[in-house]
Amino acid sequence: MRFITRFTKPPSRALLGAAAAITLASTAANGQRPTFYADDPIAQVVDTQNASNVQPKEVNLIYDEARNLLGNPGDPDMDRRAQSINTIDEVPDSTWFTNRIIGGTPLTVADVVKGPDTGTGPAPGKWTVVSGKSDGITPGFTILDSAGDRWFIKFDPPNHRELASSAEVVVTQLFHALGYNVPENHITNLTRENLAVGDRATVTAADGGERRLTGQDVDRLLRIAAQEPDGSYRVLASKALAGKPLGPFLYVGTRPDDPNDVIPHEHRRELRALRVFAAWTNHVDSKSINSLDMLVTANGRAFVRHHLIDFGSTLGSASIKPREYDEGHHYIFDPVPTLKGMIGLGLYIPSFHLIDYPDLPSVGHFSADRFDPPEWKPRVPNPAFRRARPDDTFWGARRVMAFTDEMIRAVVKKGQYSDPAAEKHVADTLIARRDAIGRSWLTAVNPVIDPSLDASGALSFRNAAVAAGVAPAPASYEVAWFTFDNASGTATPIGQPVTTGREGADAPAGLPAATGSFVRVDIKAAAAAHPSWAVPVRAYFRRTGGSWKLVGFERMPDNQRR
Amino acid sequence: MCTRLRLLCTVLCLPLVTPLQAFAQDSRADEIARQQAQKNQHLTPNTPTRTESALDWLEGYFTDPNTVYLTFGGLYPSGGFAPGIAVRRAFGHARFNAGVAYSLRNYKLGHVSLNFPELAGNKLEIETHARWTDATQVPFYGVGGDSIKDERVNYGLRSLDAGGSAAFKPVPWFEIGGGAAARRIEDRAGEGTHPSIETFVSPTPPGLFGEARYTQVTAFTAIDWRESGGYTRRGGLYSLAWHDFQDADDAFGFRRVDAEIQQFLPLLKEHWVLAFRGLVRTTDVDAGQVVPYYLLPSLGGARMHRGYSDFRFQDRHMLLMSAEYRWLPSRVIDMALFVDAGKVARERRDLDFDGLKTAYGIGLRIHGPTFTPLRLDIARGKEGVRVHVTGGLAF
Repeated sequence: MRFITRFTKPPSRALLGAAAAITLASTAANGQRPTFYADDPIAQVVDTQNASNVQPKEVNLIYDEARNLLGNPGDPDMDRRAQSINTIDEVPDSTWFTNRIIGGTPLTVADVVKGPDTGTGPAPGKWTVVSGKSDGITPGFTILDSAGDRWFIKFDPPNHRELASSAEVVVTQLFHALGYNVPENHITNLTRENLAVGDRATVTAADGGERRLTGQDVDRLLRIAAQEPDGSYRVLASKALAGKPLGPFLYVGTRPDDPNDVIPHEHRRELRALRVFAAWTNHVDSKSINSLDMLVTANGRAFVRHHLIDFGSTLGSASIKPREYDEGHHYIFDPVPTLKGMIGLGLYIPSFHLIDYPDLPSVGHFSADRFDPPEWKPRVPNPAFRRARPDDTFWGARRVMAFTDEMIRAVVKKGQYSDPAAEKHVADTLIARRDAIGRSWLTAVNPVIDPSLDASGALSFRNAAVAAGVAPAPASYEVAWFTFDNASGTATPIGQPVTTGREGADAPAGLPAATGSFVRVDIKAAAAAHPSWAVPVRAYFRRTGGSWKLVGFERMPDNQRR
Repeated sequence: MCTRLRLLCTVLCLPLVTPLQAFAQDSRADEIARQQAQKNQHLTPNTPTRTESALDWLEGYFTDPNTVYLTFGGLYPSGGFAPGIAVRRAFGHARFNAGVAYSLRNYKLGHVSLNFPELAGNKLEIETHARWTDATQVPFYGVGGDSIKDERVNYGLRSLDAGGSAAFKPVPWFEIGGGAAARRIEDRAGEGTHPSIETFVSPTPPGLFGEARYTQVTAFTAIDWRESGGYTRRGGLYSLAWHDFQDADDAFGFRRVDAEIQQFLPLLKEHWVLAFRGLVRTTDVDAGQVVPYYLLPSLGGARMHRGYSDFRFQDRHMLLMSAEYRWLPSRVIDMALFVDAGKVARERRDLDFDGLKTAYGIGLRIHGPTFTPLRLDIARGKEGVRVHVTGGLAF
């Protein structure tokens, strides 16, 4: 089983052959294993092994960033199909991801706004400061509320009230609705009188030195926070996650001491498609150290739950100040534009410098102007983002497009921008960036979704790009039918492909009727503006109890590479 | 290698063993459980790689407040490459630091300090220090703006300095404070390839081979709204410092005033930054006393006029102006076209814009949000091209 651990380093192609076997949707039948099991498509992946021996490990930021900037860690095959998907091309629920905005119980606006919240913030009453962080990059302190819950208190940067706290709350709710495990973040008000200094409280100074925390330290930290007219302070309260912290997860390889972590992270669709969500919310800091694994024990099992944390550097915020102008457009070091800039004596002006940002200190630099989703870049290359294929970004774009304007405006309202113009700008920008994502990534691959085959053999499906209004209906669809041998993986045509002008077709004569039989339907679309739609998607149905059940779906099978 | 072989065996054998197991499992859930169980049999510790461990160590080296660490440079101008070793410790509010350094030009340094950087809710900073320096070949070209490059001589300088200062910062952008120190300075014959200072033709450098024992009193104030002292794209620094050097023998007593303005103007969303600096150093001396040549304000060097070498021009008063056109090709690299202009003068009234020594050049700086670890400046002045590779900004 050492091959699993080797995935923490760049694996060879031979190793990746093994990796391919470790997929939730091993559709490449080998004659001995069926393509589809009886329980396909699975809706949930259960961590079956006891993970209680997983040990905490921090990630060295410089190491992680340097190897991603200067190298390309992970699977050298940049076009491999995601491996955390089930047989219908969806990501099952797991310790990484829970289907919410699509695939779960439909979310209401109130559900999206509520997000991961279990309450309204730290419990009222006396809050005890147990540790503090001095004037470093991100000052703040840790409290125990009156209920004994631990919260991390963070402040907005001076002169930019609401900048980081609003962004953090807005994006937390969005990422929760998208399906990720995130902490519970609240904008809250605290008063000095409500704070008590714990007996053994310590403060870490700017230079890293630790000493006893005093009331004077608390006063000093509070001076950084924005003070309300009533004398209270606006802060962000982030609830400590349940379990034992194990450190961040990497976007490449697997955790060698976690028995349930068997899929290289760069091949997890939920991490590849994070590129889409990061582009939407301008989450340029989507790096390893902004994640956190927690060892959780529930129902007698110990397992690792994987979280995304720290969304203060999203939208127009860089946490400690407004976003740098090139962020989202360049990596922190991008050789070609850097060289152009160096030799251009400053006369080479990248287009992002021409974006006109409104003067909204609580928003920073956030715009939909010149936002080209495929060109969006985080600060540092992310191995999972690099391997995102069109079927991954399509999957992500569908989720982004599932947010209604009403949902977005309600979530932004939760960010408690005091300036209505700021609230409107953030919501309008998210809506505009959402639509840009739909135009780019819903159209980049054959957008047929939701195929179904009724008992009488009538096939229906939808076109996600057309439904979202980001592309006109194609001139026609071509549907090809096959019988499918689940044991051998062999497909045999049933008649000739048929062309249809609607989102559906009738099955040809000769469709098998026996329980347990399989059919495959290939659907492609003729759209001059979108040549990629001519590559068919494959839908697999199993005859069960007189009806057909969708058991397989491939938007970009591994044998249909770009 | 062994691991790799085992790995390949595992991979190659997988298709052989899988069918047997596949018959034993009839669900996707079983297959996933099998994969997890298989990994569970061969777990390995999640240990850092060697590179990661090395970086962890290096990071601790820079950030650990309680560590032994290496130093490079900062010994004395003209000292050249100067490696050293030091120790730092944090005790509550106190920060202790002590170390030694030695340069390839035989310069030596010993230093110890005890600082309290975050007193009174970060409004009060107190620093105390003792520092011994032995510089062996400090350049001297004569006094005045018309000194000749080829007449360079070297001198040695031993200095023992002990004192302290306090800075009050009622708001982050303003400070006012003062300090006192005892200094004993002794100049000596120079070493190196240039002649020693006693051979300097004329006039005799003021204070030559005379030991000075100072009580130095300092007062200072500054408005500083730059983003940080180590790197900024906007804001300004306006500082004023007054130093009174009282010599125990009433031979070398004088007062010095340093006034500096720095201004940074971002343009086109920080695609360009215009940076300006004006610096004046001026001295007053009591009747019958002199400012020793080694404490005269000077021009030249990576921060004090890039077209000339360290201490190239010295006199009682000094004026330096710099302007930079900076452009930002990347978030971590700045480029700059710059011009430095300055002069030294015997009389304060001569600190005008006539006869300025000018130099122009181009620079590349690698920086973080608040620091500039590497600066490469290439400057051309009347005495040729000078290349400065150093850390920190010129201003």
